[in-house]
Amino acid sequence: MNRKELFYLVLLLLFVGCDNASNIEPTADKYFLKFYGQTGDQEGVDVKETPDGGFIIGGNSISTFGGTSDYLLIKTDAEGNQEWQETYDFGGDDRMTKVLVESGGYLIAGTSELSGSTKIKILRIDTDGNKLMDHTYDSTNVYSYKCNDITVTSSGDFLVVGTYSGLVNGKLGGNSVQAIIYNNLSEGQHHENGMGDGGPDLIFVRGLEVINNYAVGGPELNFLVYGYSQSGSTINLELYQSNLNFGEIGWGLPEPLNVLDTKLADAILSTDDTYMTLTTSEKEAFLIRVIENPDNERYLFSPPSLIRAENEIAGTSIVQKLDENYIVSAIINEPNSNQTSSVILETGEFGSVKWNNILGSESSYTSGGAVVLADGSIAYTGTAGLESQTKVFLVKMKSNGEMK
Amino acid sequence: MNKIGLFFVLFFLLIGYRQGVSQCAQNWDEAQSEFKEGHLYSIPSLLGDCIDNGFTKPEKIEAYRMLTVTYLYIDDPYGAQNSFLGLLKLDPEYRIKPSDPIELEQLSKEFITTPILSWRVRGGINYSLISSLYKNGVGNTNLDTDRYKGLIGANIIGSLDIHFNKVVSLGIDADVGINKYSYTNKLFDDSNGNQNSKDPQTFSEWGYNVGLPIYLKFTYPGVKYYPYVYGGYSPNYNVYTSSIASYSIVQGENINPIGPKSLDISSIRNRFSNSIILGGGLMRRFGYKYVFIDVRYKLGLSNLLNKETQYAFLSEPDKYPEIVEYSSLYQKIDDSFRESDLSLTLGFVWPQYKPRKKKTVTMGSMFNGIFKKKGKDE
Repeated sequence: MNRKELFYLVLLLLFVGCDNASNIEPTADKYFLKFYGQTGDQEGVDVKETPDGGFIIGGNSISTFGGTSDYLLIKTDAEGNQEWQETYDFGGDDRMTKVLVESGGYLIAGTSELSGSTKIKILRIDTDGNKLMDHTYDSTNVYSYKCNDITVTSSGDFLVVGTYSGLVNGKLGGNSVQAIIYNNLSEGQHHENGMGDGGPDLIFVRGLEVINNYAVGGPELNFLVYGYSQSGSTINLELYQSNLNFGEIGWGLPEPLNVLDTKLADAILSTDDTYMTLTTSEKEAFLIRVIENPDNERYLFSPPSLIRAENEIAGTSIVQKLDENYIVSAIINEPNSNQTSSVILETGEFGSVKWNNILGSESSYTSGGAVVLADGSIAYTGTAGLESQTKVFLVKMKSNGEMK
Repeated sequence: MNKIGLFFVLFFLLIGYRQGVSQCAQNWDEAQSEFKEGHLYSIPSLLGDCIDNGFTKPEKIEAYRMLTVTYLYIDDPYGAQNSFLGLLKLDPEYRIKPSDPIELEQLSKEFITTPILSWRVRGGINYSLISSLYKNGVGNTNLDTDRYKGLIGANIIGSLDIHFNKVVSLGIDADVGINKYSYTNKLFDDSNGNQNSKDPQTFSEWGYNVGLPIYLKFTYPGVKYYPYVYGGYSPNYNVYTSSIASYSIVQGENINPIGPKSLDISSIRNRFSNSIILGGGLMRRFGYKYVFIDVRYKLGLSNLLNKETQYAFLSEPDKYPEIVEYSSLYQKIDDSFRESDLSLTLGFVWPQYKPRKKKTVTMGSMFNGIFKKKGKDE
């Protein structure tokens, strides 16, 4: 190459080397940190991927200082840009717990404070955020419901699970398993069954997994119900297998799990034959693998895996990745302060941490739910503390946790 | 040596000098007289010694001129060339006067009187121009509500011009600059449900950078004024970038400000970038020095956002504490962007001359000269 050719080559490289909109890699196309909100304080509690590749984020909003909370629903496109944001106010303190994607829209579940007591409130929303159906579940004997989870079966029916305090054996008190099984909201059909007897052991149900996705009402439909019980100052993880009628309580925990002093079941995830329980003790979080034994009568628990022990930690959600590792979102309580950080991490099959991302080193952040997307990437929501207000955040990252 | 001895030494030196000066003044008068009378052959001997020692610089210039014309008239071209070269060494940009004979004018065209090198120093202001290549952000980036605004920065530039001829030169700069711009946006929905409309955020960013522009310059060889244009390429190194972040939370009538706070964001800026430069200016001659005014457009070619570290604060928050604050508290996720600037500088030129006999130079021959292989040169 002579000097003239070299000169022209350098000129060509200069122009070809120009970064422009067509050749720049859009960082936000796949990975982003987004904030959403309006006047007042908002929190993010759950997120799901929508059929159009976007996201539906469920949360709560308090728009005026000292006011009550409303359901908050945010729809975004695949890049996290907000398409619409709606609040749903039922007059009292409304708290959304879960959001699900269903055909033609979204199903959201939570509670609403109505007439002096807290009811279970379920909404069906269309894809534009319009309320299609509004269902309140109440019982005359119940003072307060807590809605912790909603699950859809393969037939399209869904179950709501939670706890209630009410009149048990003629007196107010006692928390029990509460499950409502709907065939159709408009028909209002449901089943309600309780566990626990209002005695000294209080049972707080956090959620359930459908073990066998048979049709609702089928003879073999089973649930794995998880939660925790309190006996005096001791809190223990509780796990039950139940059939549809909840009349047959399966079993509690085998002895080995009781080695933990204090345990709260935060979330559970079922795979083909195992269940991964995200469990929180006072200053530690654990993953406990639950394995169904061949005779389908008892469950075996593998030794708990510690996922983080530096500070107080509370698990929020657990989802399984396509490669069968687990994505855990949790809240870390910073020592000697009221500040919290939000953490999302991946664990291996036995709980070893592969990577973690933390939000909130400078501000107080809390975690909501996480979701593994169709392409294997991960998104999760939560609440960002921004000085005098809180907002919903949504973070998306590669399946290996990288955000670049 | 005592004081009296020193006095006498200085006294005799002064006397000798005055006598020499006086002799050269006589020689000069005699040479002028001889020139007018056409007695040319005696002139070189009259002026020769005084040119070496005795004449002042203006007198030397006049003496070389007279010698050159003399040699031209007595048909001694080598003597004329040497004398004219002597003149040019004293007055590199000697310009033919109307009173000069045509032979001198012809001879002058055979010499290069432009400097071989020029040193320049200049300083001034710049105005940054930001081009967003891909919008990132914590808000809805589909809505065009954010704004970049250039701010006034500063440049100090040292330069070397290598002159190929009176018109064409190659410039190499060492450019130290501070570029500034501001970014404003609003976040969250207002009470009417309008997106990106509630809380204002402002970021004033300044970057300290060094560039090494290299460019080809074309100068119109005027008499007193020398306009020029140039174009070239500049590699740049981003030394340090800081952003003064501020954010306000609006709750009805109440506004809660956060910041302003200066944050080091160098880690999310690419260190190396490329630019194309285009510019022009005007030089004004004062004696053998110049002052000039220069306008330059520096077109940024490179994305300045470091995509490798933009989100690394999430996985390594302890390593990027100020980026955590920048992105989480002040809620700034940067666009991919290029930065250009328009600068206005004033400066001085110190040319270094080397008068020499000219080869025949055309545009074509000049470029061939540039690209000529070394072996051929030799």
